Amino acid sequence: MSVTYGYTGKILRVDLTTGKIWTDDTMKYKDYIGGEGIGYKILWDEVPAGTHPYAPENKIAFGAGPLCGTGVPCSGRTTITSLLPTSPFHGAGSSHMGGYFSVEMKYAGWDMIVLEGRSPKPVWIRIEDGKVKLEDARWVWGKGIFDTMAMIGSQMGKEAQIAAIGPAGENQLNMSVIRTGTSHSAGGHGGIMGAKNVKAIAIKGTGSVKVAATPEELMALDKYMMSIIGANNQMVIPTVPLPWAEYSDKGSRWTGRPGLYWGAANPPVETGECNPADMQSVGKRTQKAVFDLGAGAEKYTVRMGGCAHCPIRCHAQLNVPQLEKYGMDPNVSNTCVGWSGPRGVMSLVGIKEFDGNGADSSIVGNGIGTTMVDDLGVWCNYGQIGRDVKWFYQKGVFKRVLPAEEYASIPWDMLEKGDARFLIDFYTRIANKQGELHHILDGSAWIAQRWGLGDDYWDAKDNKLWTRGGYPVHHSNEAGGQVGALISCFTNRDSQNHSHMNFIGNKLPIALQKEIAAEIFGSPDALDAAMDYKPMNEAKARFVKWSMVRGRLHDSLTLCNWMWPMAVSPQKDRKYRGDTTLEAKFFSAVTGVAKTEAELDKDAERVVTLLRALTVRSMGTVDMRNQHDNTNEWITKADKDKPQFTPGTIQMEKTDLELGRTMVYKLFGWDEKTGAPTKATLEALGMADVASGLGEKGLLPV
Amino acid sequence: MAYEPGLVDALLERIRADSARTVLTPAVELASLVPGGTDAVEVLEECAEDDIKMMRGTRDLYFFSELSMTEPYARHLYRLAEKDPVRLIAETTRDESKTYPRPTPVSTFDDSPFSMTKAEIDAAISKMAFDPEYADIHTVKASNEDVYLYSATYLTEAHAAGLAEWASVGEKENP
Ligand code: SF4
Repeated sequence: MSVTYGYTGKILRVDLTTGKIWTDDTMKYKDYIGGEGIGYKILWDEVPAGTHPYAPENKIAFGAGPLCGTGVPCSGRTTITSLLPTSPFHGAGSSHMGGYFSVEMKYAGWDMIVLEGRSPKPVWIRIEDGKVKLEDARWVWGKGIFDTMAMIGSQMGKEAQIAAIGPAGENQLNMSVIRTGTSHSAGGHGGIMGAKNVKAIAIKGTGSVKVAATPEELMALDKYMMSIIGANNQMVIPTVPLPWAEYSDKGSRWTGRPGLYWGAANPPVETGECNPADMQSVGKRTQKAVFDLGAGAEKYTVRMGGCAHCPIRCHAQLNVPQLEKYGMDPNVSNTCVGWSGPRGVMSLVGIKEFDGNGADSSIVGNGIGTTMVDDLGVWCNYGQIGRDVKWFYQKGVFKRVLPAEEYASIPWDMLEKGDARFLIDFYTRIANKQGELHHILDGSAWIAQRWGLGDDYWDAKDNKLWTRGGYPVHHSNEAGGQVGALISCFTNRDSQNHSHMNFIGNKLPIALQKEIAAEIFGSPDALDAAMDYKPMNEAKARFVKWSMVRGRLHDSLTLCNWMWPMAVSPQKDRKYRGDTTLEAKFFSAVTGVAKTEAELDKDAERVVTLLRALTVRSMGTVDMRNQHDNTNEWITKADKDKPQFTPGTIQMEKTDLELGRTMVYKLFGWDEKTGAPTKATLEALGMADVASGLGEKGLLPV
Repeated sequence: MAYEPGLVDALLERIRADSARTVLTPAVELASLVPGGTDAVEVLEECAEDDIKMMRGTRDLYFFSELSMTEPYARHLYRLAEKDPVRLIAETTRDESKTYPRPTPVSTFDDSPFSMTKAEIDAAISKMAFDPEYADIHTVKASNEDVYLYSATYLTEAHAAGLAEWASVGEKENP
């Protein structure tokens, strides 16, 4: 085989029904970049429309891209692609985890692992470089993820990287995760592992990833990148005024500052000045524990952890000794929704003082929540589980649908008092499929049917449900008005797109942001001041397209879209400009295949359009505009007293959003009436096979 | 005009050293570095290098070096040095309402570099309410009770309220 740079060149294929293990050639999929792109192509080619996510015929791909394992900053992500059990039409989608799994997979010689079939008995997959073996998993089946990792780790050695499911996944619950490391969870696909009877994949790799550029060239590019990078979510200004900073914002994730510590480190570590000129302090910029959990978390913070090859480290690692009282490990770690999702279940009154934990109750409660879901493998559907619990309790849905005996057995008094021990009872029940309550993990689209939930459920502003597809907002209309709103319309789960958010949310003054937007999108009007949205325009449509394309690009390369793209920087000397060509520069250096920014974006556009084609095929209709891309009513109606396009509201306007859809369809070359990809566009993107597949089913727009 | 050898350097050195310690240099403190009859401010106006900047206050003149601090940070220190908490809060609020634009959380002022006590902040805000000079400064509350200030010259009430709610509640619910 010829030498491939960036790619290992090999995909590991495992048929769990027969036990057959074989190798596929990555390079035949190179037009789809890697990770998510290749995963979608395999779904398109090999998983017929109408396949149930839990059927043996469904496939699940654990993908890395060409940049993973090369040391490119923030390149340690794994993209998992498969059908989505939470989707009412079982559309395709991706879930993502960080940690070190994909890097180890590359070191073992694999760009991707694709599982199909169903094992007759529980197994875990042992991968030691090229040696792959299905091992009996009956001794770990039923265990939580922490025990599973420890037990499999005891066989593989502590250097192994493991991805595993908990009871929620084993029980084929739609809202379950696949987890790696201490805190890296990919939400939505755990049940597929369970349906295949696979408890875990454990990998040890002793190889490396070959890079076309010389070490000096790659280091120079890395060093340049380190001058552009900000804090988590590419926020580029600190929370408080600092001597080196022109700007500050209390809401920034650049929390590092003199007097703020990793307080439980021994000795405590001061985050300090974090001057952008000091590359060595990049890892101290984001003291994420205080950002996620409040000032009280400082004294519990041991350090920041994160994914391979990431200088930012956004996972707060805490030592909370009080957790031992609940039979839990005091060492607990997570980031963002990994904390707020589990604790969201307490949102009826929030977490109050409980069980003698005093002022630290919130930290202890967060620790309980995250430990429970990380062990049982439960997914929160980007926080939806918390909003659902609150709504169902307040509106009497639980009382109506749960058998009286079951209802009476649930400690609602704890929920009402804000006692976080409620989380132990709640998550134990639902992950173990106990009673009717566990159906809350079916996902919104399915429980709406099962529990007879009507328009009031879908259209309540506080429920934040974006579409009848059952997924919530995720940087939607509150993130750039129509820009975030439209980005959220084209996926089959929460859009998980941060390309726009890393720009809009960078905290720079609006005049500066508009200057930069004009340079990238051709007009300063691509961006409005927050909460002061103006009608749709072509530049916003270009911003939407760019964000969607970069999201797919990052999940294919695989780069962290919680950091990339680098549209801005913290450098005053650069007038805060970033460099949007960096992905292409790294791709060219690593693979030796020279690509411009536009060429690489075109490849990612292929991935966006392939996902669109998969959705058309799953739904069996070309009418994406009316059947898929439409939103729930609250988005255009909730702020009754505030007219659209006046300051202070994020309310959208129906015809304006329709115009936005038309503009985005046009930019992607999709049919302007239906929003489905046309034959000409598919062929122009080199997907004649996809065009003919849709054509055979009558699914090309006429 | 020719000055004693080393005189200009001594002034620049002092200002740069102060700035490196993140403090402004009041003109009054430079007087001891120049011989009687020489005005340190005049010397600096004539001979200072590009990094040296001056701000004119009601109590004094202040110098800083841009090698160690940005102009906006120096402005915070200048407002602190002027010892007028009402003005400090109002002008900081106006700057933020205009520049970003965003309302200013009242908690900004108990944090670095302002480090004001709650009593000082409350007293300043109360005074502002009765002074026509600050008629543009208003308060707005997020649903979690966080209080913000904004300047009506640059933000409408609805806009300020929307931004405050987003910063205190919305952003935390949508990380
Ligand atoms: S920013 Fe956070 S999620 Fe992204 S690569 Fe770094 S540690 Fe991982």
